[in-house]
Amino acid sequence: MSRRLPVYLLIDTSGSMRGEPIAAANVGLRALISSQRQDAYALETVHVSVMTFDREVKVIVPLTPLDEFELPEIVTLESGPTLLGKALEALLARIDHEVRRTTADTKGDWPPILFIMTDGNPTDVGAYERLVVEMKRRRIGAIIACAAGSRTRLQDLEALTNQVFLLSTMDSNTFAGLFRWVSESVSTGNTIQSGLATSPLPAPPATIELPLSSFPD
Amino acid sequence: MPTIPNPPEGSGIEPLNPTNGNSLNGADSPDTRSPSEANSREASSRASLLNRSQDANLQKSGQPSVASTDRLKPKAPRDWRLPNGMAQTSYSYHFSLPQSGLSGFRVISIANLEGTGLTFEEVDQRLTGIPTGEPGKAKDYILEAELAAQHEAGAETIVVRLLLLVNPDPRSLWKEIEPDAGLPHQKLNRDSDRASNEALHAVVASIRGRSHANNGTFREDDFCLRKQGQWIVIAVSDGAGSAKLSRLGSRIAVQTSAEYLINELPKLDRTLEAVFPEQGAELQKQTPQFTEVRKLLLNPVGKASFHASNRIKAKSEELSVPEKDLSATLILAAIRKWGSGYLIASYWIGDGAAAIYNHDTSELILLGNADSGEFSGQTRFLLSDEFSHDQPWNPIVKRFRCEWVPRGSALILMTDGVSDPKFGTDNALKDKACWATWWRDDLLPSLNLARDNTALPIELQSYLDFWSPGEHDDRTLAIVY
Repeated sequence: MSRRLPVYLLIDTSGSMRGEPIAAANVGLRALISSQRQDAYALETVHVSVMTFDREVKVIVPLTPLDEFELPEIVTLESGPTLLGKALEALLARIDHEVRRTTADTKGDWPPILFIMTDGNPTDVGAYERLVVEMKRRRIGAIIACAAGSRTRLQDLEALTNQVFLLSTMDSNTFAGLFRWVSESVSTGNTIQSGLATSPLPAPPATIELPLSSFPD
Repeated sequence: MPTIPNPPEGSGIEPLNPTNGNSLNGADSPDTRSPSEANSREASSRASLLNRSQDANLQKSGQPSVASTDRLKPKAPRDWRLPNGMAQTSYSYHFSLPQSGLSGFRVISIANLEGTGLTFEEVDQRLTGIPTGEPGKAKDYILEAELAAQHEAGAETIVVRLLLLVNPDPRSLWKEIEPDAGLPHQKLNRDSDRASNEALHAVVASIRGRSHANNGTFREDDFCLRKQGQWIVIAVSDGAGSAKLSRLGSRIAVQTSAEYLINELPKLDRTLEAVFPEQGAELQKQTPQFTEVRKLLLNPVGKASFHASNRIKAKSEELSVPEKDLSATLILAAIRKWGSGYLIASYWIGDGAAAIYNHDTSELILLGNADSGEFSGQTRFLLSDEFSHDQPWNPIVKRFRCEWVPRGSALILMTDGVSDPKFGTDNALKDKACWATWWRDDLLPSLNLARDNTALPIELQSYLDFWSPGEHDDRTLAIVY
């Protein structure tokens, strides 16, 4: 069985997304899926899941191979909070449930890629901040945040990832650029190096000499 | 004969709205398999009720998702989306209407099938064939199914639109794009080399993977093959996909380590002979004398890797880029004839595989373990943090192996672009039966290993062109025998 590249689409369906923002999100997602369907590598490996969040988090489509995937029209609530922290927590639970880990006996999936569309102003700020730390610790694959709507506070999203795109200023060129970036992330698997500390490393020794008694048996 | 009016222009594919009896779940359909993953049952009521087929290659079966926006007539869906097909791949779909709230109906005919490559068998209620797609993109077909009530002569019929998306054949989508000639640190898409002395013959090849070709990026794997005196040294490396200059990192890793090692090893020959005479070596390999051999060889092998890492760090400083931009793995090995067999020493950091495989006895000695993480593609690299330890030799010792093996043994090094498709898991790599099958049934038929075969490097490059779905990384393979 070949390895899957899980792509999670996490869409804000709270009241603040009503109207233009959710319309832009739907257009953007449709274009993204369509572009991925024309990418050879994506067709073979990408599996897509769609989750929405407002006051609840819902799994609209569980992880499905790209060639079988149908993108539903995403609709918003009349009003309601943007519980992005809760959404990220639910996402991590889905990843734990759906994504295969590497074991001695099984090939693991590629690190999952997360694509978030939101107006970027989480209501559950405390939970969101806690989840940002947790997401970094978990080292999933690339995180791409698409801010829809003109009232977006980008710095909230920038805490989570440095790949933040503003949908309202996106023309077809920017869209194309975004999708190319996603495509390259998909095809390189955007591998995260394991075992590297974030704090500065001690300087390596200039030379190393083999001590007489160093070789264990 | 009443028909359902066509949906208004531009409405596209209707979203799934759950109402009772509108979902076709086809649990009794003979070729629908229930989802193996519990999560699709957990999916919310707004989820698609498309059951996923387990057989990804041949039959795509499932039940259509129903798009109904007419709550007054739940039994009369407007459009049905059939499971997606794929160009050049057999398609088979069985209409199982009783589950849908359309009990008593069957499909009489399907129109607009011309040019689709599909046919409908009314008796079986099955749509089959090899769908025709469009090169490079998904193709949308709109078919019309006429349904009639069974067992009712002269009963009214219903016409339903069937929507079928045919994905392009993935093989037709792969592009071959040259990397930008203006970029620094150019690397050939394909390369190979060979070397031999009286006792041993070595061949190595490295090719750019399809995913790099598709994106117009460089090969990130590299190798270096050196010989001096009786020694042959081979190094292979895989640059990290997410590291911008990993093609440079892999080059430095193999060249620095192999050059250092091939210069140092011949200097040890006399001491090695004194400690572990060639004559009768096969009897001595379990004795304390062999521990001395291992200590002697640990020194230059460990230092070779250390110097390679230093050179990578220095280069990153010279270019003013973070060290991790040059991340690359390293498998370094040295081999020479020793008495009635061979002496081999190695160092391995990262993924890929290195092993000694005896093609006469099928005995296998794996020269370490691939570094792995939670997910695929997560591994360790030859970076300074590997050596910045109070006791830098401790991690080196863990990655070092030294063996004496009888004739008939081959030393094999590969990057994960080969070990993933050919072996896949850690357990498979440890299984000598897997190696035996690979050597005998996969590798040997593709290569003429005769020493005088000057085409061997090219044959090895061609072998590395094998097609393996989802496995499109750079591929490097070295064999010394």
